[in-house]
Amino acid sequence: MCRMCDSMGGGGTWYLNPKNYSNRMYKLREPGKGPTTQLGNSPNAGAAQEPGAAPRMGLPHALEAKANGDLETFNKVISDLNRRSVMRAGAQVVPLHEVMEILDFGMPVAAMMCICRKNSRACEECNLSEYTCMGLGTGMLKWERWPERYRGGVEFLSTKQAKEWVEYWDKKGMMHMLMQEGGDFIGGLCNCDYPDCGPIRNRIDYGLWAQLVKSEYVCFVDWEKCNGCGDCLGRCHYNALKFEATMEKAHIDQFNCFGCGLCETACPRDAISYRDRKKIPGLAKVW
Amino acid sequence: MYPIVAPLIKINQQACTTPFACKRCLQVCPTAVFMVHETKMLRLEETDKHEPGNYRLRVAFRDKCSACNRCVDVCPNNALTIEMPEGAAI
Repeated sequence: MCRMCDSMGGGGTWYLNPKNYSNRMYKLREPGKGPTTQLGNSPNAGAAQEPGAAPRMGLPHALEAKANGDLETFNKVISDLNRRSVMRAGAQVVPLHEVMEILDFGMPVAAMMCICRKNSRACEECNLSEYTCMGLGTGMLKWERWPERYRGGVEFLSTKQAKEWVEYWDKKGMMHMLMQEGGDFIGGLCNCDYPDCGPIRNRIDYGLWAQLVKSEYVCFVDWEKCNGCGDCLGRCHYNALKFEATMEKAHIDQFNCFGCGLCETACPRDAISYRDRKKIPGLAKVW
Repeated sequence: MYPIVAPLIKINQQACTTPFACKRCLQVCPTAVFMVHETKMLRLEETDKHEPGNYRLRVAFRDKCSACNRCVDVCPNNALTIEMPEGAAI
């Protein structure tokens, strides 16, 4: 069980518990957070600082220290951030077949632009074939209050449309993750890639492990079935999948694998399968 | 991880006025070092990306910069400079 399942799962997987998508959970704001006219607490608040001023806290401070060769400060700030974020829910990687289950009860759902891709590559997504992010739950009904946050508009989808849309991005090579928003409420389903996704980059480049949790699964390659075609190669965003030349087969590093299942959905011979992380002794606590 | 001193990237904010509309450096960078942010997020109001000052370019992941200088080459306003800091070799 990951830490979110422990506190919010009700005995099962937290994201398969419909309670966590409910209006009641949405109303439970983070302590001290109220309605505002300006999103002062947004991740973009850093943009308001004086030009040229050195950042004094948080990830920007750690990265500045690392860029100057000061790894001691970098490690200290990163471990502080981890200690703080382990106290609250984080994003979790979810494989495609469980996304389909979630979409059966996570209504209403609306596709929208991705804030990470907007900030990192200045992507302006403005229609359904461009939107890469999805808002879940009643919070989406109020999107028009923040046109800048939802730049490019949103599109409310039926369950069937939503499933087709997620499959479209899976084929394109995006992995799926759930985001909690403003507390424990599960408010978003993202389709992400490295390096543009904030949580992926923060975890695999900078060791912020508490903000993005691995999925409940690990992917295994069945070497009896794998013929080394290489269709799965290049789908992994986590440096876990490679071609092992010695065996002439695909190779998955169990400790790097996040269980997103992108390799599984690409395999034409069903040679890659999910195994339950919790049932593998050496991986049961590797989140 | 061993310590490396990364190149210094300077952005002339007077010259780089509409980064979200221009976006050349953001899309050319091989390691996605830059980020662009809106300077204000107002209720019921979408920011005009063509109006100077509404968006700000930021060097977010300087430790990933290799000083390949592609961003310097594509910048239409010559707003970017990259130099190696003194004592860069540790």
